[in-house]
Amino acid sequence: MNTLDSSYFNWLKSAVGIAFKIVILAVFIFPFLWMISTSLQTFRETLAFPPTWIPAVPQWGNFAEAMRAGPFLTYAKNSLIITVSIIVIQFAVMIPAAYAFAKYRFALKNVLFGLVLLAFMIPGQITFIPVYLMMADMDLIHTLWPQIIPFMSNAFGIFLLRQYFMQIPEEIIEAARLDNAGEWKLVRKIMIPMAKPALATIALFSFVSHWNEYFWPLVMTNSASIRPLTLGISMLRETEGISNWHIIMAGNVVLVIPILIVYLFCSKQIVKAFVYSGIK
Amino acid sequence: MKNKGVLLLTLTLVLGLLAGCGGGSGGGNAGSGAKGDPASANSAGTADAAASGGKTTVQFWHSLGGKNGEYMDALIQRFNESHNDIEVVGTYQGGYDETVTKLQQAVASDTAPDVTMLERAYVQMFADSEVLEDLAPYLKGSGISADDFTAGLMGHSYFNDQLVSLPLNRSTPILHVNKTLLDEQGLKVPTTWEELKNAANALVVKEGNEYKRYGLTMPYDTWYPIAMISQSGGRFFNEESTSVGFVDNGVGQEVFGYLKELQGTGALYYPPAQDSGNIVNSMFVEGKVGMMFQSTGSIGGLSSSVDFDYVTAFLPKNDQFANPTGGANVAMLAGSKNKEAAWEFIRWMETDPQGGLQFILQSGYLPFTKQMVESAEMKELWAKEPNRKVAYDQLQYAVDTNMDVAWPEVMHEFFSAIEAIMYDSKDIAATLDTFKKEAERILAE
Amino acid sequence: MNRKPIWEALRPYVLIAPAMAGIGMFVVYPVIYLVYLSFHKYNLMNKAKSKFIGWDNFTQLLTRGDFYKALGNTAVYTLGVVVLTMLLSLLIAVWLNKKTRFNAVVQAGIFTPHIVSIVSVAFVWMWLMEPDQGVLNFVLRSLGIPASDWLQSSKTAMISVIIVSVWQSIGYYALIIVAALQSISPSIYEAAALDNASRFKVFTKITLPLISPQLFFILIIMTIGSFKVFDTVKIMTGGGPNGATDTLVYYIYGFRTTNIGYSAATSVVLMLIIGLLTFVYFRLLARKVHYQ
Repeated sequence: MNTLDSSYFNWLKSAVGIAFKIVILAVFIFPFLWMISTSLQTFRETLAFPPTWIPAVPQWGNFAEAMRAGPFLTYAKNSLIITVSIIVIQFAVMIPAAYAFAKYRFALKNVLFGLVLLAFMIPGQITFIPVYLMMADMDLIHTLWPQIIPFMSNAFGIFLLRQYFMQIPEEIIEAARLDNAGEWKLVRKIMIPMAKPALATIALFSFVSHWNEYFWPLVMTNSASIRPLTLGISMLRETEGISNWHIIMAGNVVLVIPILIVYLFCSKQIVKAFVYSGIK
Repeated sequence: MKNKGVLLLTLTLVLGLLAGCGGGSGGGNAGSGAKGDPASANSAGTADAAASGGKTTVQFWHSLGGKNGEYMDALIQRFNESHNDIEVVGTYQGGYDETVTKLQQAVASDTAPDVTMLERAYVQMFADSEVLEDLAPYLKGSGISADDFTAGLMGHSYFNDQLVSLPLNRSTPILHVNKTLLDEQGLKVPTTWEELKNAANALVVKEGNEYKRYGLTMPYDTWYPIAMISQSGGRFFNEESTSVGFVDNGVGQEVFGYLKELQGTGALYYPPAQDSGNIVNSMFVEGKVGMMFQSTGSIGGLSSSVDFDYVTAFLPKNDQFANPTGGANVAMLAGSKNKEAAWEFIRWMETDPQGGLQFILQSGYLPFTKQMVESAEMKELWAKEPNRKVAYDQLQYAVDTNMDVAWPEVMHEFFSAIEAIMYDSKDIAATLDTFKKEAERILAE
Repeated sequence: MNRKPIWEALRPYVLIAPAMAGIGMFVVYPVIYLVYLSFHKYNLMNKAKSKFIGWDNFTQLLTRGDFYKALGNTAVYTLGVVVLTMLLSLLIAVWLNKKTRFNAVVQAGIFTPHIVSIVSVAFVWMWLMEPDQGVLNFVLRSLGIPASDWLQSSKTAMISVIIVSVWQSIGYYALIIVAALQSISPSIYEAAALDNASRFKVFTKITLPLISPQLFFILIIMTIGSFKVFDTVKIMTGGGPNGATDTLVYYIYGFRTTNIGYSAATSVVLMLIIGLLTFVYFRLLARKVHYQ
């Protein structure tokens, strides 16, 4: 009797748990699903109230229309070049810096690390004017560089990676040094492999934030040939009149697909990233 | 987990991602691989300029997205097809405010365009910094008189006797009416504030605590209160531009008192600040509000979306008919190195029948030259769409009392006052008093 | 022969040089430029019209009500987002800690808001929060709870913005905490079970201290991130109604075209505040954090 009761109770408990989890899940992905739904609706369906949940006939043509509105291939290519270049440059800059901050003692170390934190704290909205003027001085305004080099030092990345490197036990490093491994080899063979999850995480966040970046490219670019996708999509909005939300959302869906792919790719690494898994 | 059917784009992306996610093992040498990419984009950028060969390139910045942006692109294309020696490159620079920010930094770094669209309220600010070219000599050289332009739209064109801009995509607020709804209630299209109040209240549908339908709405903007201030005989800035001209004489109290009264009974729906233009347009199209103060620029979009009898009318009068103007002008930057070509583009856009006229016909902005008004195409359009003619006719009452170098900064404060009153129901007199003090401080600088 | 020690002394500087160059060019230089601007009534387009005005921008700043309002708003926003996100993501992380396939799906689901640009989803929220026709009020009314004005009243606008920000960031921070929880060796819990410690006691005495480095990390990241809030405010409220959601960075941005000197002075003050806050954090908390 008793065992039956408790198994029934357990079943109920887990059913409630699952139901609650589904509710939570719905709350979090709803806006996202709604975006997809809108991207397949007709103009009239987007205006209707109560809202249209599922379009009567999916309007795949919305995607074609969104892409016709500008040189979308150029935008996509620019987004890709910018985002990948940023990540590659950031890695090249970040790994040695994080290693030095984690494993060496040197004069002014704290001051210099303070500058890294400062960089982390300053939002682009207050620095864009001097940076634009500098880029114009260097005659780079008509290139993709103003959207890339200002991000060469990823302060968040240096901070996270330094934390990570610090967790790697000294013994492992000493052992490698005894094997006559040079510093470069040490970084390549020990530090980087052990920090792989952290690097994946940094890459993902870097990808997400620069792929979605709207403000910075807007203030840094003066011509369509160097603009990324986000600006192309923002152009779909009407200056006056009624915005075609179905077309705008179609553009947004296109924008988000690459991120989802990257996320699927990196998600396992991310969970690992925050597990401080030094060899025990 | 592997996807089967992938587009070329996503494939490249995944490769890019591998460079990113796998960058850990690749380390530094991956850097050299990507460095070529921005450089190649760089050469592509300069190739644009080179490809034009003997042509003079004129850079033109504008703020039109969506449909209007397409019409503007078409205009530029028509110009380029009819001119062998000039190539105009038109670029969208975000909304009006964003364009202004970009122009400022571009002027400061000598990367400004030759010609730009400039929201009329900012014209004075730019002219005061002496960065706009005086167009009077060019106008004279081309045998055009300033009198050829629609008088009501020239208010923002002059600065210290210099002609610093010409009208382009100009609009004015107007009353948009769902006549089907009004007819159902046996109401006439209102022409006075009193009639407007009655009609708006009659349209309200309330179920329980919920309003199913409102009478009147308007976007969140300074435009509409300013229109109502002029209608009540006030001025935004006083004649001397030392203070505001609607607080001490009680006009401000009257305008906002009227709005609050309507809002209290559901006769007025005052939308959230963000995206308010879109929100009110959608509500109007859906029949959830019967009347709307809104820009003439919306007529085209509304006409093609509504399924009821849609008419426009003058903004109702209080003491008098009055309405401000809005939209943007076109200006030439003083730093331009291709002024002759730049002027040719402006001249063509302003006066050629293939230029601005077509853009105006398509977009719904106001015709800005007398030639346009008298053209057969415009007459034909007005016969077909009387709604568009109402907008033009209303210009006889156009009055702009917010012209000052400091307007953009005062506007910031005026928005705060509107928010305090319309959203938070703060005391009108006290709010306007605070606003007046702020405005005076700014004007004194 | 003594080349090696010199190299060894120089090595750390060489390693950090590229990073510091980037920071110097794109952070330190702009900051110096801002400090310069902050002492001027500056005309960006026509430098001849600029003039040095000493501390005027700063005195104006300190006497303006809207600056204190923006400062207060920023503090409320930061506190709200940090506290709510911390608690909720801790709760969700503990709840989803068990390694099951379903939990992994839920984790991925709550992470999506973080990867979709706020520009894309903000309007969905604005529509959800619409007072008359929005779904949120529909739900409240059906539950017999009085409806709210959400973004449209200065009383509730800030909490509405905070809700959206928390919604957006929970997934990310929950993920970090889940990872931290999973890194705790089961043997520690087994020992606690032998001692017959209560679940609450295990959580406060064992789990929390063990994940404190990650919590500290989150605290820093979130505080700084919240102080910098811009996009959400710009898109959802434009700082209103009546300045109720005007945060410092948005306030600074608002003056960029009309009064760049004043805008710069406010930036300088913002940087001082964030710098101070971070310093305090490190001093007070770094010692208490339990590194493994």
